[in-house]
Amino acid sequence: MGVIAVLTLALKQMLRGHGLKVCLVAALMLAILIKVAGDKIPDPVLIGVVLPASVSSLIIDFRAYYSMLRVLHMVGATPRQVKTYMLTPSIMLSAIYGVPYVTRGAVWVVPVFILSLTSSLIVMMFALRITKKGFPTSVAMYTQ
Amino acid sequence: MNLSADFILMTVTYIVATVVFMYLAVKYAKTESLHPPERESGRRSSSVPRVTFLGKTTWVVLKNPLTLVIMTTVILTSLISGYAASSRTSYVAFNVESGHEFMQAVFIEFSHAIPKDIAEKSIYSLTRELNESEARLAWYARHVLDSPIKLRYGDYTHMIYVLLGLSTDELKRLLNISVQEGAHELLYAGISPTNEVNATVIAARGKVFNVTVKGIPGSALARAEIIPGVPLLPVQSYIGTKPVTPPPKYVLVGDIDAVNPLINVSRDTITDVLIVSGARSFSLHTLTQLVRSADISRVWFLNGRKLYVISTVQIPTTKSMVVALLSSATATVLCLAVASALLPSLKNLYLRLSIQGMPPWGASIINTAYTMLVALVPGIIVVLYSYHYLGGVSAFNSLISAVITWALMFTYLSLKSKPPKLRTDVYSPPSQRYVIFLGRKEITEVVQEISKSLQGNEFFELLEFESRAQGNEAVIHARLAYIESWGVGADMSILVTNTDEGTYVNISCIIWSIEEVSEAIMNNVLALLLSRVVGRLKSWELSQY
Repeated sequence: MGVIAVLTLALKQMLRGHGLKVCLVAALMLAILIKVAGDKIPDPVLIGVVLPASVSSLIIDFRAYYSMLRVLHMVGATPRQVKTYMLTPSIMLSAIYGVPYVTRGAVWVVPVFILSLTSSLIVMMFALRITKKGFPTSVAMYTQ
Repeated sequence: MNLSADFILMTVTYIVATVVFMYLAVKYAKTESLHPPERESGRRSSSVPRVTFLGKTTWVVLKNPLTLVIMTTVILTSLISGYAASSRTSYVAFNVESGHEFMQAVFIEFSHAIPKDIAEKSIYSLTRELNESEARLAWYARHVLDSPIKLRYGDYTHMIYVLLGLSTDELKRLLNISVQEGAHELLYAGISPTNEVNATVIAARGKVFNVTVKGIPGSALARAEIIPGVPLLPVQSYIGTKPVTPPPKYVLVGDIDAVNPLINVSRDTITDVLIVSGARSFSLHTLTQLVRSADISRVWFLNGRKLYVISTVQIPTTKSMVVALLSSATATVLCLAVASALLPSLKNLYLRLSIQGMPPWGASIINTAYTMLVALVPGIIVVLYSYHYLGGVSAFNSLISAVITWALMFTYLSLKSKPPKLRTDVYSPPSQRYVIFLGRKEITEVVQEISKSLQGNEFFELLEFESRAQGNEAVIHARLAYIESWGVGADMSILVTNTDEGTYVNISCIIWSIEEVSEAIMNNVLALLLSRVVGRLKSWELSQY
């Protein structure tokens, strides 16, 4: 299984889950909020809201992510493939959350993206940690 | 000791409330202590007080790291809602009778008595562009006293609660009475209008003033209006739209210079100002701005036949409400996402607790306590912050966001975390085993028919098919991949046995998945596969008759 296959797998999983929908809805709401009253809200508050938003978008599909990480671990995926799998949803979600902030200037997009990516990767690292604890029943069954 | 009736009443109320509360607390404690822990038997008691049990369970749920995400979301969205709040000054408009001599008039009531020069500065934004030939200002000192002063003449003593200080021009205009400037004459409705008496005014701390008091008709004083719709006597309250003013017998009227010294305030202290203009000099927008910026309690604005009463009460704008609702929606979407990640562990916990005897309402209480602690308490803290630093409208907006988020999250958790009911919606998964009896068949034909059912299948791709027939028995093993979903498949074991009565087919099927897919999907796949094989065998047998 190559990097492209892992990438496709992650994207397909995102499309099947609820995280992307949550992300799109939240990003739309944020875009309207920024448009309507963005100038009144202090910058740290406006940027800070991306943090729980990114975590929420990933955590809703958390079980799917960690079980797939287990599978990758089981089939002997290379670290590069695991990294690709972890980065794909994180980058996708962070990019979507960056869009509402474009209206406030391109300078805003960078810190928002970095913050969102960091929080998403923390969730993914957490999923990776759980992966090493054991295999789910279905996978165990598959390997028997 | 001078104790007021209010003080005594409130003290008694507090004491009664405290006693009732303590009685209920003692009663509850006694009820709980009827089942003491069985210490002597060495066993741990199972009758742990309910409150402790619910508290500990709530704490277990609270310790989940996801709680932090919910709290952060609520705090940030409530802050956004608070910061983005905007308000406008509220006003009401009335129609008044026409026929007054000026086109526009503004009567400004200051929050408290202030020196005239400070008042002039407060309203400078309004008066700076006024044309002096078309506009005029009149100052008023209308004092409502907390403790009355006494007016004494002859054998009579009257209590005075209101002092009205007007300029001589306004006295002439409103009451049609000429008072000599600096003559220190006062007017009182309790004396016959034709009379004039020498009296003494006994002010606070026993200070005595000798004054001349003239009579005025009480009805004229009660009817007098500064501008149409605004009574001369200070308005105490309203019954409907009708203002309630103090009775004229409690009011002493005079020139400002004569009235102010009676209550020991400087002669230039005023409480209100009237600005009249023959041209269109004022706008509603300017006046609402003035109310927001200066220390003013109310502004009356007469514009032709319309009288506007502009108060200091701020009300949220439509835009502000939209922001509050948007913040609530954002917070709700994020919180529900986290809550749905929390649900499996929560349901598992409730199921285990209900097996151990937790009543059904226990889950509701834990849900209420949990959502209140993670959504409502941070929300209230933000509301208090907003109220203190941003104002009432911001606090109101934050409150709306917090409450909506909490209500929706509570509803979602309550609905989704309920343990399955035993009667109505009990879940019955499809069986993993299926046995079918056919008329006596050749073993190889049955195996061939099963193989055909698995091969030409639009839902499954046959990965492996193994069979072995020996004597009256055949064993089949098949592995299939579910085409509609990646990583989902089935392992199927079939035993075909020929007996004297007929052919016996025992199908056993296990669905597996590489990913964590839902139980509902797995059951659907199982039902699809079983029905495929069973249906094929049944229709094959029917075709042979």
